[in-house]
Amino acid sequence: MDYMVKLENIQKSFGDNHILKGVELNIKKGEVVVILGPSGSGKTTLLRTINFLDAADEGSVCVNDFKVDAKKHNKAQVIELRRKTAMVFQNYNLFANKTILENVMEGLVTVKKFKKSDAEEMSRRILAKVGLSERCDFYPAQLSGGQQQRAGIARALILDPDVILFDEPTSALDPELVGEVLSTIKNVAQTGITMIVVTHEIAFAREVATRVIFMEGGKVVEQGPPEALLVHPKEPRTQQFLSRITGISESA
Amino acid sequence: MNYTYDFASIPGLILKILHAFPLTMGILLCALAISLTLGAAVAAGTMGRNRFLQSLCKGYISFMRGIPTLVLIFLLYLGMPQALKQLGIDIGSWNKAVFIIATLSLNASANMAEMMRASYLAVDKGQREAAYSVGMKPFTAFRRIIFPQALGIAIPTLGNNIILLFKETSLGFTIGVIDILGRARAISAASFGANKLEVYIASGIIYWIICIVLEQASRLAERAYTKGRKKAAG
Ligand SMILES: Nc1ncnc2c1ncn2[C@@H]1O[C@H](COP(=O)(O)OP(=O)(O)OP(=O)(O)O)[C@@H](O)[C@H]1O
Ligand SMILES: [Mg+2]
Repeated sequence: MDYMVKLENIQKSFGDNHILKGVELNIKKGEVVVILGPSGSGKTTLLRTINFLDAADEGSVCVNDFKVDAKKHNKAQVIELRRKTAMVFQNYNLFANKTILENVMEGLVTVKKFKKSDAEEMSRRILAKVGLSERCDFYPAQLSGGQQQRAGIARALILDPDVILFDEPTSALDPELVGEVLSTIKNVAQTGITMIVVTHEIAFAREVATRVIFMEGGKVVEQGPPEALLVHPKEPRTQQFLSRITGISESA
Repeated sequence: MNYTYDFASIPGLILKILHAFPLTMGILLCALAISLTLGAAVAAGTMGRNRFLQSLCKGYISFMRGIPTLVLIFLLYLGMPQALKQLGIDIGSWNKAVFIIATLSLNASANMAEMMRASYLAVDKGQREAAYSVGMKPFTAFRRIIFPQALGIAIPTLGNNIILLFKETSLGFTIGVIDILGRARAISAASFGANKLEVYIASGIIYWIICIVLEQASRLAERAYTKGRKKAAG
């Protein structure tokens, strides 16, 4: 094996709308891949085809040597694939009927069949790491967005997945809360876990990514190390996109 | 008219009528259990993939909501013995409460099904996706995440449905069930209708008080169940 995540010819349509047009992606263990691209380019859809929240129409997804063919997948394969991945959502999607501690424990107990006491101990430890020791017994609705998202990260992390998928983890947050979440993600990245992060945070991408991918119109337009892609992009479309979003962030 | 009402007799009448309280509650609880079970099956049918089952369940809901409860009682009371006789079952000797339970169960199951469907659909779809993303199977996600949240959403409507159901138990008198209203009428008949008004006031008070209790219970249940989970509580 040489790749942790391998996507081959991912095609996806919603009705007549051809969204993903043959995406190819090979990601090595420990890589932190940041995906950039304009709204509607299919970034979210791509992440969702990796864990089959949306099944691709064609192509294959391979995570840690477990390969699932989009055209002939079955339920058991999808579950297995989802157990190799974890996802952090734009809107956190913490389980509203469970406390923060229970949110983190849930996967360990119901999916990985850990003993409750062990699961609780591990969950408390990981919640301490994301700075939420004091909030274990709160419900999601009682926390700030930043706290909820850090809990979301803990919930993903505790399952020890082969890859974590982040879909714009900071874009629903008030500006003053973005920093705490980004620094949590940075800490996760330093543990060497493989990550795919959709984000518009260019500074974060420069600092943390090992590779940046620019997507447009359902295809990978350009990819490379952060410096090369962000500072000296080759493709005109990448240049345009970058000047547009850095323009926005400067004026903000 | 020289008839004078004897309002002082009402408390005594209430106590007498209350002898029928257990039967009324029995009818309510049986009809509640059956209508919830039936409602769950129908709700599942309306949301399942099978098109035929979908229309069947929707038709059932539409019929049960459209038909007046009284009509359904008579349909069952007159029709069920005949139909079952064809199958070799003689229900001539059955307790009449069976018919009112059957009627209310069928009738309420439509409301219950609609309640369940609406509550289920009201759970944010991100909740299921999050459950799947941590590797849960669909049934586990339903049991651990979706159902508990749907239940919280359903409690106020459920409380309402129970109150409606409770009030409709009074229709049992039409086929001679001696529940609260049946007993009230019997007491009145025994005095040749002399205390008719007092009897109905007494039974009205009983229904009203029980409804208040049910309403408060539903409110408390909702508050206890969703404690802390809602934004307002945070
Ligand atoms: N479930 C769906 N049904 C129909 N169309 C969809 C669905 N999900 C996404 N789309 C469409 O697919 C296209 C790509 O959506 P996607 O969410 O992947 O874009 P994105 O790159 O994540 O955009 P953004 O930056 O706004 O999040 C959009 O045009 C969207 O309307
Ligand atoms: Mg998106």
